[in-house]
Amino acid sequence: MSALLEGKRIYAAIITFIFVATFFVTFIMIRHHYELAVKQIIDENRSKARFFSMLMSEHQKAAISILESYAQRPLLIDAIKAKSLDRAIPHLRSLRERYAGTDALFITDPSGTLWANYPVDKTGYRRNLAYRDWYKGVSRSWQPYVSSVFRLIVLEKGLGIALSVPVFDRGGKVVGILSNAQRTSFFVNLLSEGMSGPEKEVFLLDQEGNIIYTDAVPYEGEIVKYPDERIRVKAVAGDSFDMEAEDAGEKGTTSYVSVAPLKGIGWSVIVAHDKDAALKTLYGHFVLTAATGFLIFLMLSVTLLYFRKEYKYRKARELLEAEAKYRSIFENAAEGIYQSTLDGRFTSANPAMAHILGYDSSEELMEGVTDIARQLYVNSTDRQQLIQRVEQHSVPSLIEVQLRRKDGRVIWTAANIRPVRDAAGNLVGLEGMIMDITERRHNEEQVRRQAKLLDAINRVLYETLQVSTEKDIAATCLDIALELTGSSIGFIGQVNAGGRFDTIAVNSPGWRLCHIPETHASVMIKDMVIRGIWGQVILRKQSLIVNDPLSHADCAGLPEDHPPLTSFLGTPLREGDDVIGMIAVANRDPGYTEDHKQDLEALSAVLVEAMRRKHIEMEMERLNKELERRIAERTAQLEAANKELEAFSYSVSHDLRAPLRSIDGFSRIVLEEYKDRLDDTGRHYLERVCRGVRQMELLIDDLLKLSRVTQVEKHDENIDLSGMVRAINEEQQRDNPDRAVEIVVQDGIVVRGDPRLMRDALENLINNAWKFTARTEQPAIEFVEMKKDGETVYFIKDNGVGFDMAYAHKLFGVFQRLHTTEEFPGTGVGLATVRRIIARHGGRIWAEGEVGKGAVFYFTLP
Amino acid sequence: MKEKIILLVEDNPDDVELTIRAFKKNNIANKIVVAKDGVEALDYLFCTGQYAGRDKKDMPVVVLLDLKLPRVDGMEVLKRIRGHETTKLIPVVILTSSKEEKDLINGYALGANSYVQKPVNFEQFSEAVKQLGLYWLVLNKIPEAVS
Repeated sequence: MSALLEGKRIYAAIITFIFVATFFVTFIMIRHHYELAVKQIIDENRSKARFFSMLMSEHQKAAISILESYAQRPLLIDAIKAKSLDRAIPHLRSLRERYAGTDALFITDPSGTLWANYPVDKTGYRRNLAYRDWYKGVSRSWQPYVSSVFRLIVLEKGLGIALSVPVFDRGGKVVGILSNAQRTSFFVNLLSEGMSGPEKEVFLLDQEGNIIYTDAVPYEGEIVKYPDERIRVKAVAGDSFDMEAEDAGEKGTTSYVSVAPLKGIGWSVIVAHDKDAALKTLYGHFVLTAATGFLIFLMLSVTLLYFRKEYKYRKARELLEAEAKYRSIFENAAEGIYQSTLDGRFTSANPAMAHILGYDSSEELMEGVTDIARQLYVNSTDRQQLIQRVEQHSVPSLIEVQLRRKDGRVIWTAANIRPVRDAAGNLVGLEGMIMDITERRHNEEQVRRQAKLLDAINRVLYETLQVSTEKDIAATCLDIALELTGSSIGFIGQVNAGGRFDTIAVNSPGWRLCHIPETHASVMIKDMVIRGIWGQVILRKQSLIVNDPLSHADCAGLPEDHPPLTSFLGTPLREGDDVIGMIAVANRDPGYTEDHKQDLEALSAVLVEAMRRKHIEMEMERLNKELERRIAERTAQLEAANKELEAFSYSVSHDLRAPLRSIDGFSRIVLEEYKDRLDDTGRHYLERVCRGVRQMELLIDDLLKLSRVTQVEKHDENIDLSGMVRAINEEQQRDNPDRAVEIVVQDGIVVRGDPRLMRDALENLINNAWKFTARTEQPAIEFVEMKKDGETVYFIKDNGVGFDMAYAHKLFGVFQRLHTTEEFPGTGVGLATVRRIIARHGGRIWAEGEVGKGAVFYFTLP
Repeated sequence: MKEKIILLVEDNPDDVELTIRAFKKNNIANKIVVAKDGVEALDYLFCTGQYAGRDKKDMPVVVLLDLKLPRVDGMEVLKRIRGHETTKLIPVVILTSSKEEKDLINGYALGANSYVQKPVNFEQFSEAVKQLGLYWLVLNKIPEAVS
């Protein structure tokens, strides 16, 4: 409403402003036009006055010139000298004929006595006219003179003026005066130009301010002074000016007057223009301008009015639409929206509000609730506090409050409430929005509980890593269980092998309450009979909540000095289907709920897992230690065996040789020193002894090589196998210079391995090849690399005696020979050594052969 | 000129006999002192024990040293010879049945002048002893201080 009023005021102000503005503009325009018009009138008057003044002045000068030209005629001068009327008359006649402005011509003598005139009228002859103005004027210095107005005495009666020139003889002496009298009515010809209309008047004044001629009123024979003395005086003084004068004319009105003097004559021309008449034409223009201004004002006002109406209409429509929209929001909102009075009634409430509070409709809610604080608030003082808070802070307050529904159920709501005030600013009620957040609160509660539980579980698992025994875990877990459930005492125990109960953790406050001496406190209660309330947990294999333990059927009483039991919660520790123990907590102040039970069950599962892990961990640690001990033992054994073996090899190499040397040495000494006393058989036997010694030496050497393969440290490097095979062949060629063996060695076979070991292996193989081709006609030995099944295989091939594949498996065994020593010398250790070397390099060796055709030894080296 | 003594350190009497015979066979008639173990060899060299009264200046011109000896082994004997001022310049030839490379390296490392493996074959053995004698008794010049 106030906005509407405000709008009206603004509208009125705008209209007023437009009015004032158009009025002002119009006024300025009119005034400007008026001033322009007045100036124009004055300008026109002035130019007219000047024009007339100039015209008159020229006219008089011309007339005087004519008079002077006659006055200089010698004949006329003679006539005048002689005062001969007859001789003068023709000249006068001529003059009158020449000059139209001549009414009467007359001649006086220098003293002013008239003696001639034309047209001739002898009545005035001999009259002295020296009193006349013209005589005074011309005789003052004997100059031509234009007289002031006077009444004509000759001819027709009326007003006239006279032009007089002196007449001089040849000696410059004045002999007479020639005058021309002119009737003022003559000037109508000169002063009527552009002077039409009664509003314009022209006056011709003489030297004395008398009116010579005017077109306003015909002055018949009367000499009248110009009525406005102010103008007259200034005009006589010869001023040229413009002014606005009252009563200048005969009508008693105001006129614009312009005055222009006639130079050298002393006359003035006055042009007067009646103001009213002059401005009359302007009035129409003024009215038109004013009307236009008013029309503009009207148009602007009407346009404004139209737009205002349009605006108001649109506003109203928007308001209606918004109203409809908000009504819809109000009706359909999920949040409860309401307004209430301070004394506890609803003044409005939407359906959602009713729904939240358990009412069927808004109406039912508004009628049914007459005291909000008492009927709806669980804590009825809450509302008063809320009102105070809202009043103090004045801003919307977000609160969470418990309300009671119609059906008595208590719900949590979140409300956004702000004050409602009257026009004077007094608090009259509350309005706001509320939401049912019971579900959310419940969820939050659950989340908090879950978080607490997870934290507890984490702590148990963390502790598992920190502590060293299952008991420590149980103790920590008990602390956490007490904290989680808000209990003051508790224990954790296990069922022992005898079916009785051993506690493994009891919280110390519980112990202290029991007044058991510290020495006992460190000793857990063991081997208890499973009974009582707590026993039910194990016996029934399920969690148990007892919030009134003393009146419980299974209550078996309490031990001496046990703190009074107010509530109890027990949960079994399960491993598979078996119950292996339990957690018990007790004396939570308001008792235990299902939530606590679930939490403790979760914790118990974690505890079992943690203890199981710890158990496994401890077991693993024990086994590891055992394993380490065994490894150490075995290593020591191996080291000892190795040392022994080394010592053995050393002995073999050193000590076995010595007796051989003795046998060989002394046998030879005998053969040498006592050959005379030995027969052939004896010598043969001794030679057999020596041969045995040599074979034995070979065996010792080969066995030492074999044992060295496993003993020596392996130093891998890149080996040029091709080069190595060639070198070995060259050695063989040197040792067997009479043999011709065709050798084929593939170039560029490079492998990674221990060069000494590989040399031993290749020597064995190549020496064998040489050995077994000894009886072949065209012996050939080949060393080649090939690919087989993606693997690089090297082989040494000969075309020697070969072997029967049936014995192939025996080839690489120690002391295994396929030929006698007589056939081919050897110890049967070489190939065993080769196999060991290849095996030590991670490769394989095998052989193919055919009796009489040769043998191929293949080996791989990864 | 003093007699050029050869000190043969060898526990095996067979080897001792064979070695001496080989020297003789090859016309090497130097005096051969035999020490049956390391202790005896050291006693001789440093004039202690049973050799306490021996003239200290009478140092062997070469020591033939077996490695595997009772009581103090050959390597230890070599170490002691090289460690002592009066004996450190005496040529020492290791004469052993061992073909172990380890022994060879250790022997040279401790300052052995030569390393000879005793062959089983007597003819080869005899040849080796002959070469030894030729080199160490005839060709080799040793500083005067020692002899």
